Amino acid sequence: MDIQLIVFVGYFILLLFIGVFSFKNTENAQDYWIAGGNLGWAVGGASIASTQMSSGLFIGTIGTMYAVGWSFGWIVLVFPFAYWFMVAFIAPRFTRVKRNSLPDFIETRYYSKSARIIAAIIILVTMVVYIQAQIVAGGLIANIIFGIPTEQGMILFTVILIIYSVIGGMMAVMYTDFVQMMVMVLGAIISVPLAIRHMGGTENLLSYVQSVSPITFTWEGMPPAVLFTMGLAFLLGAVARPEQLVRFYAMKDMKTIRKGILFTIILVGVAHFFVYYLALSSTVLFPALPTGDLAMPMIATSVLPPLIGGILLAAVTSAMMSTVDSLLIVAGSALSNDIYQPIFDPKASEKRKIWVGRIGVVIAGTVPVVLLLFGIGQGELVQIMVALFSALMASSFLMPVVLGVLWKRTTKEGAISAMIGGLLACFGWRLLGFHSFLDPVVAGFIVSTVLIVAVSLMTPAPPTYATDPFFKKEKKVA
Amino acid sequence: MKVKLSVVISMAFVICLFMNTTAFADSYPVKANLESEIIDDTSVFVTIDYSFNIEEETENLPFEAILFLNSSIEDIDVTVNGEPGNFSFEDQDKNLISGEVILDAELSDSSEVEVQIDYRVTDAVMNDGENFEVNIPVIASTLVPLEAAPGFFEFNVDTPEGSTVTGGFPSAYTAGDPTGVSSELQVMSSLISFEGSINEAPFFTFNRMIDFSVILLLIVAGAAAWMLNRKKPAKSEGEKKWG
Repeated sequence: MDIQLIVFVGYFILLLFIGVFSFKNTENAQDYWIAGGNLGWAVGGASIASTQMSSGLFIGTIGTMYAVGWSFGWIVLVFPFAYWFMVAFIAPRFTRVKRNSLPDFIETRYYSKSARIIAAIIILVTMVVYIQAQIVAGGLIANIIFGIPTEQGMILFTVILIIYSVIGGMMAVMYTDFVQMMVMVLGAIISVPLAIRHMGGTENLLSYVQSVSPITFTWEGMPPAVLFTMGLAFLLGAVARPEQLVRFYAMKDMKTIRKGILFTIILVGVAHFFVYYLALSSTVLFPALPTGDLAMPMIATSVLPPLIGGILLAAVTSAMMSTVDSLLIVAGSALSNDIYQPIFDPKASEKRKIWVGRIGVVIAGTVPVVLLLFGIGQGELVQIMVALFSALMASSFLMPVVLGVLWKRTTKEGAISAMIGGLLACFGWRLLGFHSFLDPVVAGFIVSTVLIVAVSLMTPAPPTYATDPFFKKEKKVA
Repeated sequence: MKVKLSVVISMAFVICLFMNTTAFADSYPVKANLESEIIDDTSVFVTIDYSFNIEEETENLPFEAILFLNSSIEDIDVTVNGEPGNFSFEDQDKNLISGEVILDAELSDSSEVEVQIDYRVTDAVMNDGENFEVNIPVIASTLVPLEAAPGFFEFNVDTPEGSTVTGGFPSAYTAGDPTGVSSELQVMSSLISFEGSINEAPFFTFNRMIDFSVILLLIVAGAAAWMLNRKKPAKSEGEKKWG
């Protein structure tokens, strides 16, 4: 326990150091929101991977595989496809006009401040869901390591996150993402052979799993329709998530983005491979957990030597933090650049915008934990909350982003109706309880697609000043 | 005003989305305590004391044990609230035994039940005179506890006389004086396993070697990260290649 405490304290001191270092290097708004737009492929790629995987992988995926078995594991296959799609079709035109945020892109492409404000509000609201998932994971880890109540753990992690996100902005987030991703992958790689060693090898492990939980290696753990459509939610959500898209702006150029995405795919693949083994190990060693989300914390604290256990838990914690800090930055940006400035203070100075953004970070970080403390959001598996967030993102932003850079005819009216309609359909599907047999992304995606195409065709074509920056062929310089 | 209204409506959606009702709990284990004693060259005798919170109409308490590393479980005996209990256990396959402790009708309505399970594990101890291993499969309740709690599963495991424990599962433990190991977990585990030396343990035990390697790796990774990502002068806008 003492060693784990030392590892944790050391880790947070490192984060604080990175926050202060980044604060000193934050000279303007571009530095704060997109890390100056000059990052290399390693930091950029690791940051995307870190944000993508989050505690959804290290807590949620293990927990879900613990509960429903191996079939859930195929979902990892959607990520390389999503990243390939992003880098092949979206990034080249998406990054032609360099902006600070997704709503900023929405305004530019759809020539409408209203569209931007709507996008910002959707981001602020839906992120509550995702931030809650990460905070719950943080609370569980604190419960296992320090023996403190989950609620106190949630507050502790949230406070630390807010502090360094407020101080350092995107530069701190990108560099800490890099450190966190490395720690996560290292922790997962080291822990697998140690866990299997206790069971006498992989062959024994698989045999024990088959005996203890025969459902694990079947397709019966989750209804096929839910499994398939949840995979769809992760696929479509991965393409459309604003905290990932904005990382394109933070990288130097397209060449860097391509390398970064390849690095992301490798990291995601490696981490998933090892995490699947840990899920199987926990099925054998802890057959009756109160919640599957406890599987990874238990593996870390009881299977691994205390030092490595501490490192792995720091990795899991960092997975949560890397996701929330990214979301907080996007939320802060949405409040400052997309709501405050356009509506209340069009001539706001850069300094003022940064401070409004910092207030946004504090609000966006505080609301989810307060809701949790009042019991709103508690009781869900982390992975289910992550899947819901992916579905909401896909329903709201996928079509406005994808068609925004691929179909010139897409209009602001089409985009606005798709964002609102997709979101409402996704929410409605969930509220009506239909998600138990089909993921809400299906309803959201269909409504969003129909609306954006139909409304765009029914409304006047977009002006050329809005579409040319994305569609006009670039002149080659001799 | 429109914006503010939109925010309120949206927040209401989120709140509705996650309104949950708490499920009523069935019977569940409250605490477990395991003691084991080495009784011959290869066998240990195990006693597990459980406390259960029992809901009405609970007729039996299910258990199972994974037979790790070719160990086997024999001579199971059960008491319920200090009285001999009814139970049945059977092999499910080569890896698993499972069964249940049957509660008498008058016990079903009581709020707490104490169940003690005694058993013998053969092939649990390996001792070659220099090194030893003790692997104890746990007859664990398959009922899920309400939550993970410090001290939920406590145990004290006997180790060979004069031995030094160098590692095991769970990894955090306290070596007893002169022998034995004690520890606790926040949930039930299916295995307790310790290893060590009969005489003085070498300084570089397996765990220490792993720790040492990890520290080295982290230092190298940190140095590499610093080299790879040190700040380079920004390119001017004209030099950037987008699209």
